[in-house]
Amino acid sequence: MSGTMTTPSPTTAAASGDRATRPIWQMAAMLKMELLALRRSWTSTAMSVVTPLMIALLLVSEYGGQTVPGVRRVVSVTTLIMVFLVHHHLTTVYASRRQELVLKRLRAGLASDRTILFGTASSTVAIFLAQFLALAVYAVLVLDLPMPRNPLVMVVALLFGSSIMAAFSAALSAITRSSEAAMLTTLPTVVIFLATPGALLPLGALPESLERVLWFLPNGPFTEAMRVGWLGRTDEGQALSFAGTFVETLPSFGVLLVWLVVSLFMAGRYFRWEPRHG
Amino acid sequence: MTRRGLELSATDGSLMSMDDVVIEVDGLRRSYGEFEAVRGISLRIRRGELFALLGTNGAGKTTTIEVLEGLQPATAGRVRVLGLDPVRDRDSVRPRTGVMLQHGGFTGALTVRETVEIWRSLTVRPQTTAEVLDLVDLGGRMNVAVEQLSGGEGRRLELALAVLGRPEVLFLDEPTTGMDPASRRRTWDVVRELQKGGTTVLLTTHYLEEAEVLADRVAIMRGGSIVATGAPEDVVRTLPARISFRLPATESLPDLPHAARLVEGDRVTYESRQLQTDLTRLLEWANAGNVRLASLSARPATLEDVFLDIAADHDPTDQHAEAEAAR
Repeated sequence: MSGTMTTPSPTTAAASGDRATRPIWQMAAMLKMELLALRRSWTSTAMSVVTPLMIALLLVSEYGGQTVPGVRRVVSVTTLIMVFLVHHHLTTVYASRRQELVLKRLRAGLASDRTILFGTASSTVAIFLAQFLALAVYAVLVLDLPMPRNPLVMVVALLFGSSIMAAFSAALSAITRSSEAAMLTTLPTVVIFLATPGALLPLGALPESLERVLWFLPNGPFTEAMRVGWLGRTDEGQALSFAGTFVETLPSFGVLLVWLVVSLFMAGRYFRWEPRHG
Repeated sequence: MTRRGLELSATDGSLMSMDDVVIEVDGLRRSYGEFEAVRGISLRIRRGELFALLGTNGAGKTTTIEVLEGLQPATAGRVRVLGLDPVRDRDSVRPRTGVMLQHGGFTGALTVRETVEIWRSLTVRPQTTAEVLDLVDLGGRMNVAVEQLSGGEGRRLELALAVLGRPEVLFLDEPTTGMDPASRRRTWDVVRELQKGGTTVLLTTHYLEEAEVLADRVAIMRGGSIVATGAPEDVVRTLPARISFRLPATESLPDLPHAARLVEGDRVTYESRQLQTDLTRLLEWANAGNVRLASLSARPATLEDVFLDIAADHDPTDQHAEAEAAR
């Protein structure tokens, strides 16, 4: 070992203005760390990137030229990917990083708890958004489905949906000791998150009264906002103006906001930074 | 007790200027439910000082250091690092401190270089990757995956990340655990260099030799409390020196004026408060009687003796250590 070191004066060491103190920069560093780790693990890459996308493309490819059923299928498959990737896979990421003490190590640094949680989730959410984009491009260019009528509504829905799934992952990781255990701990929530009509089951497959109740689960308003944003019409077939799509999706975003608050509260309340001993 | 900017240390009675105090702990308590891991400890650490916290497993060292690092809140008492609350003023404290945790905290798939570069972007005014890896002798291991490093190399990488931002205060939790003797000595050199540069260091260690070699002051913890503190030589002076030799049980033994005698079979040990006087007296007695003192040794007490003495006082009904170890 060689070299000498001197401690800077308190003023030079002060954080002000240094980009390392900015949350966005810190999150970018964590995103890079997660993507590098993913690149090194072929199993994780196959499970979280390649397989879901391949399955998604297969599931939508029979709907070429069928506008309404095609868009409904794309939204359904998007929900499926979001639940398995942003909820199940991210739960395993949080559990693994906690067991490896990476989260504790990050907490000993400059980043705030919130930045660490978001930064750790960022790669998974980014992969999900990229997969959706690939799916949407495939749907429009190859399957000849229409361009989304209001992409802004869809972007907001995607951000709400993935944030809610990520926050529930953080909460659920508290009872998940390892990535293997996540198969078990996320099973009930995966079922709940997919039980919404328009997610796993097609619209109209269940009695209307039951569908109305199940719509209030987190992915009910998500799938509806996605369908309305893409098709520019209600599920009943009523055409909407661009502004009308915003009005139509307001109740969905209201419910999503409630779920977001609930999921963030649960993440803040139950998330654990260190493994349990003994 | 404050007098004209000077304070009598609550723990070892030494006078220190409050301007020089970088770490200040008053009546710190930390509980986990019913279990109290740290039971009202107080200490002051001066700027540029190297302070070692010693203790058996579960004594409360790591809990104490983690409260100072801001990783855990205090249940009661007052803690200040650089005059700031490490939890409430986290944004101001963190850029000026470096932390080496007791265990890893790395993503094993990343290489050493990638790991350091990511941490550089999370550190204020960091050293270059090459500089910091040379400092800990990992310059030749830059492209190796972290999961392929040996235990000692992993600890050195952890040290590199802790000193990356040239911290004013450095927390080292068992920094040399798992290192071979050569790496341990090189780590000591790095710590000394940092101290020369003005860094204040708080370290916990199981290696008493490490504390004796490096520390300006030590505190020995047991059951969540500090039971001895001061400069290593002062702490060591609380125990007598030892003179020991072998002699057939049939021989008579002299009385030494400042020593207590223990005899186990043919092994004779004197615990002496004045080593030179008592040793001279013993040798004079042996020469006069032409007595051969086999395996003769005479040595002052060591920190290890003090540590073992304190550990031996451990109340077997006290479940503190076991409880914290299981936490």
